[in-house]
Amino acid sequence: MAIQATATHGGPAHQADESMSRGMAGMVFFIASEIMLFGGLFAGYFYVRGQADVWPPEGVHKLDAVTGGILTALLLLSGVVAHFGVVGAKSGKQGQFILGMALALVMGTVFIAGQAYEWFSLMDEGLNAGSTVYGSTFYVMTGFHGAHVIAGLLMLAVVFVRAFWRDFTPSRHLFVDAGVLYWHFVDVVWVFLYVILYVLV
Amino acid sequence: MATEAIARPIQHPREYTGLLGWLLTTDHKKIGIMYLIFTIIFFFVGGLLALLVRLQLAWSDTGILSQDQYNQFFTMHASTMLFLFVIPVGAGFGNYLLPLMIGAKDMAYPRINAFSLWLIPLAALVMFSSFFVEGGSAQAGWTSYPPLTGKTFLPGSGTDLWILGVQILGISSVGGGINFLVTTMTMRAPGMSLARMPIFVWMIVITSVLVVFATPVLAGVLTMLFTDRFIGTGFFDPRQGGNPILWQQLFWFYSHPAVYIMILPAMGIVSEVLPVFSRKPLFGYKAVIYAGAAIGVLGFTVWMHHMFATGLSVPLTIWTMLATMMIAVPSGVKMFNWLGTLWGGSLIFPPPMLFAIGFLFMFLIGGVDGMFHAIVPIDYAINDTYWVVSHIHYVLFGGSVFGVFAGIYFWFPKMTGKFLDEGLGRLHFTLMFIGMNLTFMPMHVLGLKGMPRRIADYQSGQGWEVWNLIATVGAFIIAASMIVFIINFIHSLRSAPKTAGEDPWEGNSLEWSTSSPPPEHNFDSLPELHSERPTRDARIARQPLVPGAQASAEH
Amino acid sequence: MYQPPAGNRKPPRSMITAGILIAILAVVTIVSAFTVMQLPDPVTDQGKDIDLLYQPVLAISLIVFFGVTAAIIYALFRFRRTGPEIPEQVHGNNKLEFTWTAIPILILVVLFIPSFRLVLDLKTPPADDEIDITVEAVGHQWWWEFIYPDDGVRVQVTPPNYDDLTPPTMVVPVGKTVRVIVRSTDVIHSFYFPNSLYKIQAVPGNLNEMHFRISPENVGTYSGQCYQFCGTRHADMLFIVDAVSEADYERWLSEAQAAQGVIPAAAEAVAAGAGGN
Ligand code: HEA
Ligand code: HEA
Ligand code: CUA
Ligand SMILES: [Cu+2]
Repeated sequence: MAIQATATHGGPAHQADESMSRGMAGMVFFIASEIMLFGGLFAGYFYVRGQADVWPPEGVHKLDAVTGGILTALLLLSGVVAHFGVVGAKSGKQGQFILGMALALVMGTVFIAGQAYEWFSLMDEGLNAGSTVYGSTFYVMTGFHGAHVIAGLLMLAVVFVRAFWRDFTPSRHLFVDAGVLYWHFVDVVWVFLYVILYVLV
Repeated sequence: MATEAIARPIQHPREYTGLLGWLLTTDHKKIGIMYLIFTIIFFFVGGLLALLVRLQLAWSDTGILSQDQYNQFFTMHASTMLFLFVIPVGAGFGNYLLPLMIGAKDMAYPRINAFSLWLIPLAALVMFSSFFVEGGSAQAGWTSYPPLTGKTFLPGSGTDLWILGVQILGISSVGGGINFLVTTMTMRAPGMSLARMPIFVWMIVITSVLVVFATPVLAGVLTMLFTDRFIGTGFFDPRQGGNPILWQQLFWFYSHPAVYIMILPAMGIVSEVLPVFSRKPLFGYKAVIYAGAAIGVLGFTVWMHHMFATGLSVPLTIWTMLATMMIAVPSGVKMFNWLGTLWGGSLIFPPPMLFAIGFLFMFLIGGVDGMFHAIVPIDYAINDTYWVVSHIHYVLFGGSVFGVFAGIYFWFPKMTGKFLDEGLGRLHFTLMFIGMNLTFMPMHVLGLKGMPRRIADYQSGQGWEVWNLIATVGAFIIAASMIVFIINFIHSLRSAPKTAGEDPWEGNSLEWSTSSPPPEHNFDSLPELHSERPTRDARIARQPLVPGAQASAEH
Repeated sequence: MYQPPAGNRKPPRSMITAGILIAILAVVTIVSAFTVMQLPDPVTDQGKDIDLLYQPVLAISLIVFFGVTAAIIYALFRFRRTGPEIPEQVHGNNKLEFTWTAIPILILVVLFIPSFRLVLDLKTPPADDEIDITVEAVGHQWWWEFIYPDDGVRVQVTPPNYDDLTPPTMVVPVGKTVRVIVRSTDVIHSFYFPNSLYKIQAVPGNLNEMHFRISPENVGTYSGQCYQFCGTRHADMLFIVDAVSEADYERWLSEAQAAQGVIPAAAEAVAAGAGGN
């Protein structure tokens, strides 16, 4: 192609910079819109909770804040190690990078497994999505979040694999930044979920 | 600029040609054109449904449609018009124009862009296929209020397909919105500061902010409806502790901003067209931007004005009334600045200008109609009557659709190098303007008399027939105008000579400084820009902005 | 390059055309304001208040509509292109911006204050002892049921025959304050008869109420129907409000009680036991 993109960019180095910030900008807007998605769910939660006489309804098993707390801690920790990995990527420490990603992946997977376990044991105890709106909010909100965790894990997995291929360099790691930013977002949403679903009842 | 532009196709090694070249393209101009074509086709489909609706209502007891058919047709009419036409058509213009206007070579994420485009026909397929399933298509109005839309009352899968279709379109919108925002933030040409961007770009930016922040809430609430239908969750079921009002809160939290998503691009188009044919800059450039932003921000605070009759609490009612009334202020600022642009100008009236002026007249009526709704005691009387229908169509048809046609007549020469025929354009405008007012003006009267919206039939003897008949006649005049447009479009595309040149109208913004149609990457190089009317400056200085823009395709 | 058709260079006579158009606009606006642009005649005190608010709103809106439309028409004719001269490039004017921000704000404040008061008025329920009669209007797919809980009377207890619709009638006495409790057993409906100018929705799981007092001179029947889309036969959910004198109301009530086998004293006792509402 004969045409150079001189209209918008300077030299090639400059161009790399631009596209870097461009990628991050997209991720930031995407996360903003995801925040609104969860914002809508939270608003719905508070709406139905606000009009209920007792919350959770009589006879419904209370969620176990301790197990939930352990999972929360795990997820937060995975955010920390993911960040540790990014620092590695930025400073060219390949080992630290791969280790961070691997640990984050493992912790995230354990979190999801824990969630699944909790879902099934709650269902055994009779808390269904259909029984009361309390169950509805619980399953839909954690379900939405779980889907986001899985999406985040997929991103981390791609980062992990590409890290093995040495696709990233200290100056080129946009996808790492974006993926880990998303992962942090998923963690933070969980903290809010944990607080309102497990603690403040 | 007087020389004729010769648009030569760029030879790109990996570029497919022919149909495949369109299907696989990531070029924002081709994508924009396909957006426009798809959405205009959906406009015709929605319009045909509207004609059936109008036929049924032409007189009391016509018996043309069954009640179920009627309910499906008006629901799909509105869903098609809103979700498949007005919302994506704005993105279509944005796609074609935004990169050209800010001097970028493409959108920030071309592949996401193509993805957003192709989601639209997919969603259309999903939504229209519902006509063929058992129980028929969605039939609870475009607002789909539960519990009616619950499994108990509408067990058919039409509602599910509707939810799925709207969900897909939401993803498409958000993808497009993010793309516009990032493109504008990071890809402006040197010197294209924010305060020099064309108003159209500004309006697309504000629209995109609304899209990115409002659409996800719709996604959430649609999911709730879906799980209510499928796994028996109880968000909207009072017996399980839910509340139908929750749907309305969340749905309108999206859908009120959405009405500004539908009008702001048209306002942007009008703000581009009026100055050109008045030979004056837009009056109050900054004021128009601030007003647009104010509309966007206020737009997030007024959604409960759709719920005044639900038994909304007094504080919420008062607050919403106040906020809604306040929206008249920035809207008025825009109106008056457009008037100021005309004032003292040197006006000519080719078709784009006619449609832009039509917009001014019609949007004014629609906006003032909205104020009647905003004043709560009056809304108690006219809520859910034909007054609403009148308001909807004065803002959406009189506003957005007139804006869209202004844009089509204005930029058709840029997209093709050819003019749409002027005589047919005038005929199109005249018929559409007359038909529009014949159709929707009587609805004010019907609304005041108390004719409810969404009724498949009405009793005779209430004085409703005559007004309905006038409306039906008007609708067919609109249809005639559309046929004129279709003829004009096909005829001009086929046999009009390529006489447009790069700057057919004495344009202001950057897109008029490149050939028509523009080369694949829009501009070879651009000098540092110094004003918000770069093409005009260059024309006055008799010094083309892009030296030999036509030649750019050659090396 | 676009060449405007030569016919565009109009003689100054076009200002006469503009004048005629604006005059027609004025006449049409004024005539319609007094004829077709009016709400139905209100029969309730509340409706009369709404209509009283409607008049200035209509007047101001039409003035805004007429003023802006006339200004655009004037500009279209006055500023036609007559030659190649470039007009003065005015970019804006802060004083004007301020003016046309301030004037709408003023108009809106003027409209807001009485609207605000009326909303409070309409939405504040009268004290229990000011209420003479309570009627429950219950929305079903697709018919209205009217229940007089204090008197044990029900109107329309089964779905109607849609092939031969006789809408159910809600009988109320004039000159009395009526509370209508609006509720639904299935989907959302909306209760409205245009001569009341006030509607409220029947939302399942929520109790809404409205109040009205039909003026003594407005004895008569008023048709109403469901205004919120509620499914296939939404258009068929008609009802009639029959406003009768107090004596006629009492007569109707005892006939209805007799027909439905209600013993008035027992109904009163039940009502008293339930706290008088
Ligand atoms: C493009 C779409 C669009 C736009 C721009 C608007 C603009 C406005 N709308 Fe509208 N609206 C809809 C689309 C739109 N609407 C739709 C689709 C519905 C129905 C949904 C459904 O139920 O199906 C609806 C319904 C609707 C309702 C609910 C009605 C009901 O169901 O009972 C209300 C209530 O307040 C309302 C108000 C307004 C107001 C105040 C504006 C304002 O933004 C208008 C402001 C503009 C002006 C006022 C004109 C210019 C101003 C001046 C010249 C200044 C001077 C003026 C004054 C001082 C008055 N709209
Ligand atoms: C952008 C939005 C939009 C547009 C453009 C329109 C356009 C029209 N609308 Fe619609 N309408 C809505 C949005 C829109 N509408 C909404 C949101 C509702 C509320 C729905 C609800 O209650 O849920 C509504 C409801 C609505 C109703 C009320 C239904 C009811 O409440 O019972 C009516 C009734 O007359 C109506 C009529 C029309 C008519 C006559 C047109 C005309 O302007 C249409 C003109 C177009 C044509 C006539 C196309 C003609 C094309 C051809 C002839 C070419 C065919 C050729 C080929 C295919 C090759 N509309
Ligand atoms: Cu009940 Cu409409
Ligand atoms: Cu709104």
